[in-house]
Amino acid sequence: MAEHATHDTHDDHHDDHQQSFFQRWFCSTNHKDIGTLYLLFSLLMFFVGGFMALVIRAELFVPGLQLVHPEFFNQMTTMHALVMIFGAVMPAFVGLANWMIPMMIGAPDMALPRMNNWSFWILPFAFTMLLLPLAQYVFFGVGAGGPAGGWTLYPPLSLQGGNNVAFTIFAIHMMGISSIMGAINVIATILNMRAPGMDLLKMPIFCWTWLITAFLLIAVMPVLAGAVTMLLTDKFFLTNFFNAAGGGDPVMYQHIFWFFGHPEVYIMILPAFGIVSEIIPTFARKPLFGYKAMVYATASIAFLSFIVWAHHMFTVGMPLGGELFFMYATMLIAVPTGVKVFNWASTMWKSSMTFETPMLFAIGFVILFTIGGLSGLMLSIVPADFQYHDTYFVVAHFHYVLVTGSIFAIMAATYYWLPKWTGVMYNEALGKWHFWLSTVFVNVLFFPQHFLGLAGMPRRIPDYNVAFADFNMISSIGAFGFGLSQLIFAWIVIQCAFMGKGAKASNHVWEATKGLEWTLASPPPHHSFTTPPVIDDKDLAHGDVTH
Amino acid sequence: MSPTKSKPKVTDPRRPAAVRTAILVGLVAFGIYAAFFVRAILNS
Repeated sequence: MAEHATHDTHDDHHDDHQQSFFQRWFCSTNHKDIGTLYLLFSLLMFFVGGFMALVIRAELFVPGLQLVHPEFFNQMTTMHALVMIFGAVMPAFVGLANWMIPMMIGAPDMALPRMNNWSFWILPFAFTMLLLPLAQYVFFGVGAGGPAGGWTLYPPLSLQGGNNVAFTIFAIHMMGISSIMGAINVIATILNMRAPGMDLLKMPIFCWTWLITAFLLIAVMPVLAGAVTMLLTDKFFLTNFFNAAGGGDPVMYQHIFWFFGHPEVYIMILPAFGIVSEIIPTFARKPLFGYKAMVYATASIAFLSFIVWAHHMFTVGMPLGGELFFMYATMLIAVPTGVKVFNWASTMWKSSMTFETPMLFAIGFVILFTIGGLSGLMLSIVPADFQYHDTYFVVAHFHYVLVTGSIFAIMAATYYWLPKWTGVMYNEALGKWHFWLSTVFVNVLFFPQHFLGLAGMPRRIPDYNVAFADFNMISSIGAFGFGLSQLIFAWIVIQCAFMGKGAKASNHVWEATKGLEWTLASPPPHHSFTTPPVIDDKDLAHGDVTH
Repeated sequence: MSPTKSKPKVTDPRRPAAVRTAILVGLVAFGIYAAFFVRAILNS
């Protein structure tokens, strides 16, 4: 154990810290640098996808067609989802995993640093390919624009596009390869690179949620790749996988897609659960209530995510027995999710809480994600879903899960770990402004969409009945407020990461932090834990697993 | 060669196991993808 261990021969050249800009950022094998690249890429995509959302909400501000024609509107809804899911949320979590997992488990780096570099650098090329048809159309008036059949790419609609179908499918393949390599790295790192004494059930909960997420990724990204490859051959090589006229089955695509799509939802939320489970104990100054229950609940949610996919397609017409199975299986997810919510509440119960920005976002997450979870429970009820399906109620539901869930957790994580990454404290007053403006506007944006959906407004339409005018106007005002609020976040990140502006952060940063990552300097050295740390259970966030 | 490059190099003893894990997990992912095509070919 006392043996000197570096992660490999390949990046000894980092030790002298005399790398050029190109070497450091393009050829990096360092988990911290690659984590930074992922996070900056994610931030960029967050604003690109956010701009598309504002185009959608601007068009929907009042009834009638105002700003864009319907085909372009459909491209915006499709691209907004693809960019936000694959470009903003997933890379953000991979970035956080890259930065934090090695430091949390006492490893010198990710297990496969060269592959880590490759995982990241595939992404800019994938997104260039995805955005190219749209950019050509918008900036040069060339072609028909991007895909417009929705992010789910249901045939036959998605195959009615032009060559942008090929661009989209190749981009999805590249994103999939990137995600799978990232997941392989997380699994190999956690299973093989933990410091001696860091048993699996002593790991920080963020590592646990990421380990389970990585297995989900390994299981379902190849399924998405298979589905879109079949779309590609149907479009360009005259196969009939999903072509009813040729003996294929378009509903089969929906089954395959959602076998990927539902676990994908949990891929985007389990790491968020991990983040919140790290933050709440710190600011409540108490160990996490029910550590083991949290781990088992995460594993249960992951398992259940594989047997609920058809709740996305109750209305295609399936046997009653199938509808009942998928309804009850979906409802069952509320049990382990409820365990988590109650454990977070129990952690805060009779604690000495303070409300710094990360804690505000974490509490916002618990409350608002639960609203998304409850509307999900409503959608799981088959007869009710026949009314809600393809309405704005569904849009409201998944935005509560993904914006006030995933994105709020990413914001919380950024505020929590930014002082550790950069060595300077962010501006707390600005952080609080960011939280409160985001929280108010995100509810103004999405809460009225529940009412629109219940009243029957379909999703993915550029025009609507005047009966829906008021709630749409309120929703659009919320959208612009929420979008503008994010500029505060960008400014805070720029201040800390690029200008080094702010008070010097201590090693522990927050008063009650526990865990290996906080034993390192702020910012941590380029190489950390080149010698495995000696672990004292008292220093671990979850050393006492009897809780 | 620079002095930095000539330093004795030590490989982390945990690395071979990590590489084995990575290969195994990668094969599982590739197998799931390949299964679609095996099925498609068998059905053709």
